[in-house]
Amino acid sequence: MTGAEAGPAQPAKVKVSVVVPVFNPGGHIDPLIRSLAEQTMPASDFETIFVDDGSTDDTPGKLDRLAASTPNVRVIHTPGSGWSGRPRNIGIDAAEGEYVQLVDHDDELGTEALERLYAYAVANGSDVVVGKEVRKGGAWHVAPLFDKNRPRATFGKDPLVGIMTPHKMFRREFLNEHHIRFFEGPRRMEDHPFVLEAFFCADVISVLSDYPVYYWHRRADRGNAGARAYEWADFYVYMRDTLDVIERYTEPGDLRDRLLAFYYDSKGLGWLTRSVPHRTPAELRKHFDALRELAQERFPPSVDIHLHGMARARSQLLRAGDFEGLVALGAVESAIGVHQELVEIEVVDDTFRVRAITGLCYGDGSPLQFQVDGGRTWWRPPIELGSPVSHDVLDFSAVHGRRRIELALRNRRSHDVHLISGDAEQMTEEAPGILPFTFDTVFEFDPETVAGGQPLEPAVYDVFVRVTCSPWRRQAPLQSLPGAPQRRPLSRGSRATHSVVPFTTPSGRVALDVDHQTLIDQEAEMNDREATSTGGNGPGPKDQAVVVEVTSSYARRSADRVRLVLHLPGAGTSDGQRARVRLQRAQSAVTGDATVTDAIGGIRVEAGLPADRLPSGTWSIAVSLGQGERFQRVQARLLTSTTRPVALLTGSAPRGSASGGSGRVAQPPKAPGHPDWMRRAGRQVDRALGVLPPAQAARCRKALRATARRMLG
Amino acid sequence: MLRHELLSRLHELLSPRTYLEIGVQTGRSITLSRTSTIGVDPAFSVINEVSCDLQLVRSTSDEFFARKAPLAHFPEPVIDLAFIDGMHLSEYALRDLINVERHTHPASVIVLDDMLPRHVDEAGRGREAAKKRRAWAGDVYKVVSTVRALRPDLVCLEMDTAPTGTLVLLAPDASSNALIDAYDDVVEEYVVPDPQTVPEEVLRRTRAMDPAQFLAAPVWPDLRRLRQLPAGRAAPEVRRVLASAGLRTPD
Repeated sequence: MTGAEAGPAQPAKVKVSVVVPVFNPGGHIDPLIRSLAEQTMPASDFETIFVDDGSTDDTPGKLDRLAASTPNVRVIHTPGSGWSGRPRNIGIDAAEGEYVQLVDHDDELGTEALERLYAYAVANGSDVVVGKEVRKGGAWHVAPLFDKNRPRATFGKDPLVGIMTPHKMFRREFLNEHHIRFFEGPRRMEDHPFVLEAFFCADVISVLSDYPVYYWHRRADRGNAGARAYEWADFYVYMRDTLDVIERYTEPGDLRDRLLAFYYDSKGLGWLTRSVPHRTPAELRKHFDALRELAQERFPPSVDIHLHGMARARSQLLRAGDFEGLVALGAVESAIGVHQELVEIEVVDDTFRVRAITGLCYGDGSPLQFQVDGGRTWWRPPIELGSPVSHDVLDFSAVHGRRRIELALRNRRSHDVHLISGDAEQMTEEAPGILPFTFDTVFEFDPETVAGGQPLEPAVYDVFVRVTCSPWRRQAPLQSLPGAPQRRPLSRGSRATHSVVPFTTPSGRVALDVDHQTLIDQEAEMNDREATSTGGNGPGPKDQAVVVEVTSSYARRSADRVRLVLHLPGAGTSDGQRARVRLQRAQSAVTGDATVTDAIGGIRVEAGLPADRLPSGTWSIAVSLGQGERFQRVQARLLTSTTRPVALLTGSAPRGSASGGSGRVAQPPKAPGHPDWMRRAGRQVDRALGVLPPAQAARCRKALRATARRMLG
Repeated sequence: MLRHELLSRLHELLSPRTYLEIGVQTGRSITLSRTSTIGVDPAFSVINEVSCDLQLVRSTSDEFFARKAPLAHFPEPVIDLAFIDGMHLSEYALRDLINVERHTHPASVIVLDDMLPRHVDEAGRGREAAKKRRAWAGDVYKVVSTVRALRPDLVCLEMDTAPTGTLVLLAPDASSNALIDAYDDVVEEYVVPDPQTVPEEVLRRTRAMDPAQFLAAPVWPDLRRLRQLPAGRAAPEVRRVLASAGLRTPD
């Protein structure tokens, strides 16, 4: 081979190289190692390169041992550079894959992440693939980018700018051709220039949203990232690198101003405002001065047009040097929170309906107020905003109209979030023309389709309310009804393919239990207690099971319940007697009240049990007739299913069948070998002999049988 | 014509690849099968000789269909010919029909027994009244009017067979939810005390067809051919074949 220094690209040896910069992760790296081992992409198709940036814990030895025992793992040790830029560059240089996936040492990949990302990249010829990122730890966040798959996203049009983490997949040759690398050394925001440059240079950016690809653990003790204390002034020094990239790749104009406005607000003004309650005045002052200097240098006034109303007020205060004014505004803004009062949760047909009073309120609980005047809607701030602020920034007409109130369901296991938009009706005026930012809100969703057209997967979901009135977006866990007992259902779940039951968590919040992740165990536990406390032994032994009359007993679904009608033998009772019916299957049991009425030849026991508590299967049935009476098993089983009709099967279990039970009325087996005419003859003989005294009849029968045997051989 | 003769001729004309029977009892009808067969009965007592590749399931039909892969015994999980002669109560028969149809192809044939009782005594939910007669058909005849009302897409042919009449269903649709959606309401109408009110058309068999005429219809080679096609393509073809042979649900 002739040496071709900068020439032809090295052919890829594997499909994907996973590059992980590592610094003192301790045990926090284990989930990542596990998730790499569990990838559905064959191990021979990808490699993992851990670049240890001078860890001082036991990580270097741990990674060496892993690499020795795992063929597709490599470890590169490098002297500490103080930040993740250099180790990432070393990893990208060493990578042999067609694509490079960057992962931080304390995060995780979804099991199918590499397989899906690579297939999506190949299918679209992507230079960059942004996989759906899910936050674990800290407040949840759903980037609007991930509302759908975007095979070819456009920078400047699709909301890519909101998601600048480096946790993405890049075509290795694309990075090399454009010399895209990280800034090295201890610096903040090292990922923004890298990702921005990649977005600017890429021909094809693809967004894979239909699978949680990347789990981003945001922990307070991140050894290698932004949680360590640093100087604000330094932060804005590094932000200049990002702004340089924007200016290098854009002409003066709208796109450039919009991108600059994004950084000015989200990493500057907004951040400063949010810090007010957590920082000393001296720290805030430093931040203020550093940002003001940056604004004078890099954010021309044309940028302010692209700021939302209140962000523009912040900018006006900053540009005018009104530190006190900005801090006062920051104190008001950062105290704004979600106002919520749950009214009810109900299930209508298969639709969930959550009704709540929602809105935004100040720290003291009073609602934000807007004034309607001359056809426009103005915010009425609770403080004087200071002279630099122009009146027009208080015009929220457009923003108020675009307010969003959403319900979020967060999967407690996968941390995936599903959003439901609410239908918000303005609460009445507090005074003529004064509107509180409070709404009678109804959220409706079908659990069968709420997860991007798919049903909710079995798990517990925490429920949140999110209220957006730009620039304020606040979210809070949905609080349960006052006094609602812990761990008990708030409402009956849906009669859909999956059971979905809203309940109150021990901390008084609302959660959804999909397919009995928590409630089923509690129900079984409760029934055990009930059985012990009443001194009963549970359902009686099989041979004592009560016969169920077949022709008039049945089961059917009725709305969200399974209605059971059991006709049992028994003496007449007083109508309306209270009884209980219990269905049991493996570890689960469901008990419900029943009514007893007189019926021909016995009693009729009727009960309606919640269908959502009876997942598919065969349920044994026991009945307790009256207070303190023990449960007695009856000779019937209930067969439930989501795809077939519900069936009450009477009779006892057929011998030798795996599932047990009988539906056909068992007929006594006919005597084998005897033709029909002979049996008929026998019955006629029986009838004829019926007139004789029993002893005489028996003698005659014996004689006739002997004659028949002789005649028939 | 006896119902077993109808069934026997159907086996010949259709040469089904698979046959499902609900309600085996002594095996008198399953003995007609020469193909891959599943018989379901919670209390069978087979005394007849059987000459087919048979899986005999001791279970209720409801529990059989609740199994993970109920038709695993078949070379492919499709029922070409089904004979429903299970529990003689209408709600059980309707469930059997719903469950069977889920596993059919448009070219499949479903036969239900005891659908044309000759007397109210034969048509009771209880067996008491039937004891003075030779047969107990039960109230499964109610399925006929349910199917006629809810499934205009099915070809629903009542057959004047001895003793208690049969119903032949053609052009089934495994994807139809009309019956299962109506099931819970229908059950309430089905479960009423004896004696039952049996429609005149059923008792007098005014809609019933001569089974010999049905068997002579020139549809069998086409039905055998069409079951090779995917269901979506076969369905309109089957309907066309049946219509041109004049086989349609009578008014």
